[in-house]
Amino acid sequence: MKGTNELSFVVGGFAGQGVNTVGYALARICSRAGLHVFINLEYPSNIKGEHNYAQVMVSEKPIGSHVNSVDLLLALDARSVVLHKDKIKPGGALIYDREGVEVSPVDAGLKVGDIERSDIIVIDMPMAQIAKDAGGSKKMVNSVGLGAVMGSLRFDFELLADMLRQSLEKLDDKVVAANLEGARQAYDIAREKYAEQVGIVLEKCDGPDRMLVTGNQAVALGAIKAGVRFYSAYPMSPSTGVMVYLTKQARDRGIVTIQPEDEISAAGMSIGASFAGVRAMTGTSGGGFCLMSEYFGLAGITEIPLVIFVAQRPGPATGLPTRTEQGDLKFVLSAHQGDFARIVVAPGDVSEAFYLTFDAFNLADKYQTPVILLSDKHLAEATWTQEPLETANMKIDRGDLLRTEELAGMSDYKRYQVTDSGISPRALPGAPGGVFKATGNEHTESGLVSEDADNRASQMDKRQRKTSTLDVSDIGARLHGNPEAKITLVGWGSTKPVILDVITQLKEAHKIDCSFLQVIYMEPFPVDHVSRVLNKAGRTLLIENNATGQLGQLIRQQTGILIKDQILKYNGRQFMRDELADLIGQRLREA
Amino acid sequence: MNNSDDKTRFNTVARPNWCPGCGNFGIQSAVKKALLELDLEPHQVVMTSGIGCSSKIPHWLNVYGLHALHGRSLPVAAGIKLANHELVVIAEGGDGDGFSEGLNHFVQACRRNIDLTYIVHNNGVFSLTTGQASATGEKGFVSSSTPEGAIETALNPVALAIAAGATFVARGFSGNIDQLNDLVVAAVRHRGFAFIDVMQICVTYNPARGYKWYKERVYDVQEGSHDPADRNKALISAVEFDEDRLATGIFYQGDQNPYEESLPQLGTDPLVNQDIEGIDVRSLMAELV
Repeated sequence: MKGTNELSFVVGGFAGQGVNTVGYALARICSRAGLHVFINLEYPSNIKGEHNYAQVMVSEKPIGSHVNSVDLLLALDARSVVLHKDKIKPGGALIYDREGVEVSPVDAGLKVGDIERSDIIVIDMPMAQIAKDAGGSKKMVNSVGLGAVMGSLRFDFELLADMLRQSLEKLDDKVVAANLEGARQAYDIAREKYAEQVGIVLEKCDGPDRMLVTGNQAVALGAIKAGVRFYSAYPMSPSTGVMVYLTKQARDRGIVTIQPEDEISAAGMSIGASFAGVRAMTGTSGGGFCLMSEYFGLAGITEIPLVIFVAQRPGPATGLPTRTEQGDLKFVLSAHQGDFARIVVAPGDVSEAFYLTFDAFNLADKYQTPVILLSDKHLAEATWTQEPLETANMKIDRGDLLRTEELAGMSDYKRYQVTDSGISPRALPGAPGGVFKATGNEHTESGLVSEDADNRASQMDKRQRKTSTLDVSDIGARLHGNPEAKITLVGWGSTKPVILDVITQLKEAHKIDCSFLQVIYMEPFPVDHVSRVLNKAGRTLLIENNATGQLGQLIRQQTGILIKDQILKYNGRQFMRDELADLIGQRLREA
Repeated sequence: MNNSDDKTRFNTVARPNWCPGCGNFGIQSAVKKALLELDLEPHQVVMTSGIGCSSKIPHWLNVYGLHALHGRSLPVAAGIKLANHELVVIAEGGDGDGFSEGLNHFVQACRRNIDLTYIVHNNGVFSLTTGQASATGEKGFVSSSTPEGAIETALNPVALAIAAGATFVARGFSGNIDQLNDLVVAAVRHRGFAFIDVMQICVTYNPARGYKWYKERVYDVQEGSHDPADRNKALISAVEFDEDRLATGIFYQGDQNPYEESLPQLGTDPLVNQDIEGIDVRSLMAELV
């Protein structure tokens, strides 16, 4: 499909070449030009040498997903030509440097060979030579490559020039001038010789300012808005971005971030900080949560608020460290021995990541229990354009927290007092009159260890009662699209943007009308809402990024409804829009 | 209402259920005396602990307590201190707790140097699980898990703490309450991570090392020419630990800045007192445009 302001662009290279920098630069240029952008990153667990690529989707309309096919490929190394050239659509274009193409050290001897695609436009751009002539280093090839991309799309060169000036502002003026000169030369060649054949045009359009934001950044922003004062985490892909962002803001924002010896300590420190009264959060991936699951239950029985961010990646064990999967839902729902009240929420896009992180802190404080915020690599690290989020109505709720003067008036304070709601007034260390013990043993209302049978039952009941008052019937699930549609897709988490894009595509291209039931609260579960939608639905299709349909199992457990038709993907990659539309089409034809 | 004249202000109604003659009573007395000597009020103190006989101690002192998980008293203690650095935070536990399950936390706490006091009730045996050799049980120690005698070499916690960068390292004896009281006072006053290894009597599962056995062997390093500022000599004294002569007292005390002092965001007002209403994140969103 050729036209204006619709593009699937891929830049490929080896780790260390700056592939993501190029992808982000083009995305930023497009975003600032009023276009919508989505960036999917695929990279291996490797710092230098292995292949990685960024795919940038551009559209005048909101876009949340990527496709299998490519309009324009910028190959910074030989491997990228070999791997991606067959994904270029007929009529699409390949930009590479026939003479000067780089070969990754891990690909020694690899030859690009003949392109063997007479149906695509091959833009042989002497990027290395241009960089050299302009007086730049190898690194400058990225600017030259961007020039070629911009030129072949007939996009305003000044947009690139502004971007380069800004991103290189810390460098010497000569370096900036060389980059601009190199980019200009490639731009002119591409525009004059190839742009007409390429046939895709990008141009500015009117639109509000939009952020380019990852799910991890949205989570960190939500946490800052919620007043997080303490974040302890051990590095683990793909959750590390939250730690990095918060750490960067820590001093200015009065936040302590700490990287302790392991995830056990990370969870423990946050529990300690929360016990002392600050809003605290820890973050990890599934493997790190395995270690945290011990402290997770301590937070449950001691009723200490705690927000745990879990960004899933494919397991078990090390699995695929830098890829995506929704494989830990059952794990977080059942982690730790015994029963205790927990809350599990799964945002589906960056906006929900922001608001649900904020909500998670309120829920943790209100119900005095751990809250898991479940994301995955795709939501954590992919990037979307998003208009700045409205924050006017966000209200902090610290729950039943006793002020020092309230405590002073109490004679026999009981931290674990049995109440109708199960929620007991909470004192903080440092307050006179509030002295109590929190213990991982079963305990009395005062917090003393007790093995009394009646006390055990009454404390268990009290803790279980807490979340029963959390009504998720409205907020726990959301039905998108036409509620009268004959087909209902069911999913959760990071598949939301691609499913919404597919719904639009199926409707526009094939007149197929689908709705999408998105489950957001996994615990407590929106039983009535989900049952009502599914009982009324025509055909239902479960879509999950895991091998066993974990949400499907949960729905059956909670509602008794079995969704037999399942589209499951578990190769470590997110669904692509065209791929998912085809899979749904196939299923519908099979019926 | 407690006040500083009330010498019973750290007492609880609940009574310890340790075995009669247990060394934990001595440690409890020393800690209680130290808190009085330090002029503290119960609400100013938080005690965290792990799991085991000794880790029950927060229940029997009138202070805020967090009786956590086996081996896990130190992470929660660190979080409490960073959230509210005006609190006095003391972590306690046994040798199984701190030197087996929680050893990594201990080593890292030493080098992190957050202003905490860590008191280990070290009796060389897992007692609450009815007597198995611990990491500090001597080689050859016969227990239900080592019927032919422990094969491994015993860990030396004092040497380990000095090597790991702890800025206050001491050893006490549960049978010498006055000295232990002084050590706890010094440890709480110390700015940074203060570790006290307390040789503790277990009358039930390690009766061979009773009060008399220790009494005949312990001596105070301060009685000689020991200089606690000399880290190298402290390490030598710690390594010389043998069954005939058991050194006690302050082995090493340095004046390195505690972790908290490198965090300007703590300022003078603890994190917990900082207002979190109406935080504006619009400038952060604007940076992403």
